[in-house]
Amino acid sequence: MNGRLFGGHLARPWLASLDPRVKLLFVFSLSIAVVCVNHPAALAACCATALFFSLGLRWRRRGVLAVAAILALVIWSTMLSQGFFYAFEPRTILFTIVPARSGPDPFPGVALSVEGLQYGAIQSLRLIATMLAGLTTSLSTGPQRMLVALSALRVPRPLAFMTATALRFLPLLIEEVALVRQARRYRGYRFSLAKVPQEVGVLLPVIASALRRAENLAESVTARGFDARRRRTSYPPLKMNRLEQVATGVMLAACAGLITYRIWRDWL
Amino acid sequence: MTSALNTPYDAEAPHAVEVRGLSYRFVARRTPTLHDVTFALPRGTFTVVAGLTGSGKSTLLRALAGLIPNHAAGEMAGVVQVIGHDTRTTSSAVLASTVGLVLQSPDDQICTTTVEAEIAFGLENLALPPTEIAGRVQAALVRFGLTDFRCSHPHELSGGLRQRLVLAAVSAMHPQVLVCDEPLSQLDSEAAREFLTELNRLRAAGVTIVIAEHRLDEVLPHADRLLVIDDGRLVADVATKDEAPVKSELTSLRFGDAAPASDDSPAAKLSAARVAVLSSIAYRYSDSSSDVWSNLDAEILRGECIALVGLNGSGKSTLLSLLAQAGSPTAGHIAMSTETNRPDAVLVPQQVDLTLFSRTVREELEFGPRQQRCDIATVRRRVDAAVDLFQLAGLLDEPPQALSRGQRVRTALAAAYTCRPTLLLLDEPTTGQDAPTVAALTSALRATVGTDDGPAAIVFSTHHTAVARRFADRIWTLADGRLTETSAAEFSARSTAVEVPR
Repeated sequence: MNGRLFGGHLARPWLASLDPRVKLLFVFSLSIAVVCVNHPAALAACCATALFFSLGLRWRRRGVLAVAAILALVIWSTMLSQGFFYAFEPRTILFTIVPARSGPDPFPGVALSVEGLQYGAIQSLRLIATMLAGLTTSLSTGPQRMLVALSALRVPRPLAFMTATALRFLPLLIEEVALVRQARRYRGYRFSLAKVPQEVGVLLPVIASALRRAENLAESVTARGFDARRRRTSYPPLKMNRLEQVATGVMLAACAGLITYRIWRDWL
Repeated sequence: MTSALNTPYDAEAPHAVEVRGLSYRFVARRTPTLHDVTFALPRGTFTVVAGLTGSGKSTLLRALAGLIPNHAAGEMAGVVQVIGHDTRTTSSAVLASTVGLVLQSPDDQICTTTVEAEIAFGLENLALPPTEIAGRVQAALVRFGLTDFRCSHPHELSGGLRQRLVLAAVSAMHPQVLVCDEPLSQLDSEAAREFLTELNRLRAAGVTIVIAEHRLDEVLPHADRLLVIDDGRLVADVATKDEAPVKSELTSLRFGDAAPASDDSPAAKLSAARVAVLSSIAYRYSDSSSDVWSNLDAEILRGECIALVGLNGSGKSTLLSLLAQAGSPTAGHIAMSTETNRPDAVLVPQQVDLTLFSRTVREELEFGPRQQRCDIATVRRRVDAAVDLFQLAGLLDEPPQALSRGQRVRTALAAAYTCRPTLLLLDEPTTGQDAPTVAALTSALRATVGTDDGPAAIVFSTHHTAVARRFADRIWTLADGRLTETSAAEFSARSTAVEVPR
């Protein structure tokens, strides 16, 4: 088990050394931005920013293909669902699957519309931007640094520890799933499509093992004073350099500006 | 700010640990796990807590660490004082810097991703200033020989080093009492010896050590005191220098100096039929430039039970998985005898809990025969035989994961047994089991080796030399990339010669 699914070794030096609080703030700011802006060009700019951020990872061909496949699936499913279920007018219908029905038992019908597809494309840009930024932050930050950063950002300690621990033990869970499948093969199990429902059984020992591990881990960290003090120190302490401080200020200002703009436009 | 160095404690307290009339009952249980336990341990002593699995050792240790009653649901009576602190009324911060706790599996305790961060974790929790943390981390790295691994991921360390890291992380908090719950169970003899050496160094520095362990032959030579727990009661509290009472208390808890089992040896059943032949096999991990072992030649004969011993990382599990045909050797080949209606080999891995994936014990035992498309009568016959052999009567409708650790191990072995493999392979089946349980398991398995219903041969890996010499016909030792083969009698003579007599 290499146990290293996350961490600085996956990132280029500039991203690996970036203060994790800045990365988390970047994800937060980008989330605010994609909610506040509507114009496709602005959303495309958000995606481009997230894409540039993700270039800080040392991508491998397999990883690029996997992420591209996931993003394509997000775009396709969002566009398709919005294309069929877009409820606003006007709508330019491309084709109809179930015609609309009026009368005593009305049914709006199921039809693919151009406006729905466009709306879906815009929504998928929102998802892609936040997903890319979140993925890059998670992959480039080790669980320990993440814990320190979340604690420093005043995230409640149990929540911060849970997040960091989930990242820490995810590789172990993946390995345990492989061990269970191997154990079944040792006892003669051979996969076939008819046995797909049995595949769920793989999770049973993994979950039981995770619960036992959680109990031991809880005892161990409690005995090491996890809940001993309201606040903890960090080693090495997080320290932002000048550039990171400026970036933090710019992002906070941008967030405040975007939220103000949206409130002014929609409600004032 | 309170540092562990200046933790306020009762310097005049005559004992490091004082337990008076301790009883504890978990909420879900009707009967108490601990009954009226009373003892006191002087400062700087090394005490071994012995007892069968489920006797209440772990509960007692958790009470010493203050986890009971502060972090457990149950009823406690009596008093536990550690360095003068009553565990019920003392703050978590003071308890954490007074008592250290080391558990069985290092992987379940390490919560960070670098060696340095793991040592710093407890110190950060105590809110020590970063400069003091830096000093203590550095000191712990040097003291426990981990300096070269400062920035390593803990999973890049061997099992022994990982347990040493846990000890380093706890020691960095400068506890005055160190409580260890079966810390050796996953360590080979070399790593166990190193771990005990570290404990002795801590004891020499004034730390009071309390350790619960099944590997008594290795631990007792270091101990001053022995506490024996039976069914939640303290039944013996003796100084280990008094040899006679110690021996009498431990006859049922250790394997002792018994000769290799020969009465029920399958030698009588042993025929020259070869179950497997290993011809000049070698293996190299994909990320390594050298073989883990090479030119390995051996035979496994029908009716025999072979113990595979060696240090952590010597390739025992790899060899077992190759015998289970889960991979191919880098060089050479393994020829298996194929028998009709039998799988060639079934391996029970070390993490037995991961082999229990069915909803009930019955389904678990039926899984193998059903995969082999056996008829219902055959499935039932095999399950019935396994239930008798592994004492699982009354548990058939229970979920396997809800059973006790010993019952889960028995279920996993029984599930492999019902597959009726030609070769049954067991990776560390005795880990964390007490001596009577191990004896019962191995005796049950040995009784079936070479019979029509049992496996033709068994190969099991173990760190426990007493188990190897007592229950195997032959011992394979993996060391320095080579396999050495000895008879049980020869191995017994060798290993007892280097053990500390007791």
